[in-house]
Amino acid sequence: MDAEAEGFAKFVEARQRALQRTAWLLTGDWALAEDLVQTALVRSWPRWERIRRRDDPEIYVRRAMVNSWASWRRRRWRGERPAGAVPDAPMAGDLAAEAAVRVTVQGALRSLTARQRAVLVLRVFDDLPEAQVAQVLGCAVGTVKATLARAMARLREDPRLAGLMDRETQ
Amino acid sequence: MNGMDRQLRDLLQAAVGEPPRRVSAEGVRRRVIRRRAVEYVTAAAAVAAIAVIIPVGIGALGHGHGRPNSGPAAARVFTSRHYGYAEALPAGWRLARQATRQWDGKGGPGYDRPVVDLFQGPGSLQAWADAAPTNKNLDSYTSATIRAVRAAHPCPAPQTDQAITIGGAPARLLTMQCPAGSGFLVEIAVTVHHGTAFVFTSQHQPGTPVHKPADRAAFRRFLAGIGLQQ
Repeated sequence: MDAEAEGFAKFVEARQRALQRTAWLLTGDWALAEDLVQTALVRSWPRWERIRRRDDPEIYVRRAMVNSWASWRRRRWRGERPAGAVPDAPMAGDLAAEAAVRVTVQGALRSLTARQRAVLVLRVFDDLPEAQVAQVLGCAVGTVKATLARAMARLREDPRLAGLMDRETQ
Repeated sequence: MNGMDRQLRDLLQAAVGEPPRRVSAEGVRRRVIRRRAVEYVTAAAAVAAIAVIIPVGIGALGHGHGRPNSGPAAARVFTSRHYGYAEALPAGWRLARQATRQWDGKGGPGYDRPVVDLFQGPGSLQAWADAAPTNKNLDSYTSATIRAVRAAHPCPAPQTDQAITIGGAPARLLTMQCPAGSGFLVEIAVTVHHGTAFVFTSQHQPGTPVHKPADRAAFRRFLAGIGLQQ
């Protein structure tokens, strides 16, 4: 295996979990998340050496991931279904609680626009600095700040999410 | 990050859980190969279409009253589901069966195994293809292939070992009679490309007559139609 292939394999090994988790928050489905990560990596691999020299690979791959996701949404062939109301989860025990959190968070994320969701996931979940989020999304830092503010305002108005956050604090 | 940001991050962490499957560099590499094969096939089909359309168009212009179109059949291109190569099938060749699962790289699979893409050529000539990741170079993979074939069949050492190219990549073409002396002509073409070994084998169905020079030529035409990632 040459150095380039080895470097790429190491990156995938080290970052695939984090990338898949981000992708899940974007797509809401593990199969799509895996597909999205693979698509981003497929786009990145042919120019891996150049990416390593000139760019931060993580930023490049995340940018490819967000762009692919946006393009899937435009084409709508992935068939994401927006949910107006979040169903209750009448299960018992921790599993029910986990499922409730998952369903509620997914519902809340679906209520955001694509850009708001991407900004929120990259900034809040991945904890990327605003400048890096702007790099990933190809926009100005000011746009990131404004988009994040709108996303947070919208989430604050979501009663189910607010309920969950109150419970976390107690 | 303020309080709500932190709470929200904790919620996102709790919601997301763990991915059920790993993404591997190997999987990505296979997908790149498949994608390039599709690009190659699309380009080849476009070239083939142009090659058909232009002469037909010129012919139509040259023969004002025009005969019925009897141009060559449209190019038939097969893309392997498991192995990421494409085959622009030459005249006389067709796909008999696509592999239903992937080869694990062990042994030398015969035409009747579900891990091979099987093609039917002129007469009773058959060719089959399989591929697997390898860290060997072409020479050592070729040697390993010979050992695997000899372990599985009563085949002698190859009588010829010729350097060729497959899809633009350096390759080796081994020829042998199996079993030795009066057996079938068996040809095995091997190439290693971007960490994947591709093996293309040809032989006749048992119990059928063999036409060696014609079979060799037919298998060369088959090999010439193969596209690998560029």
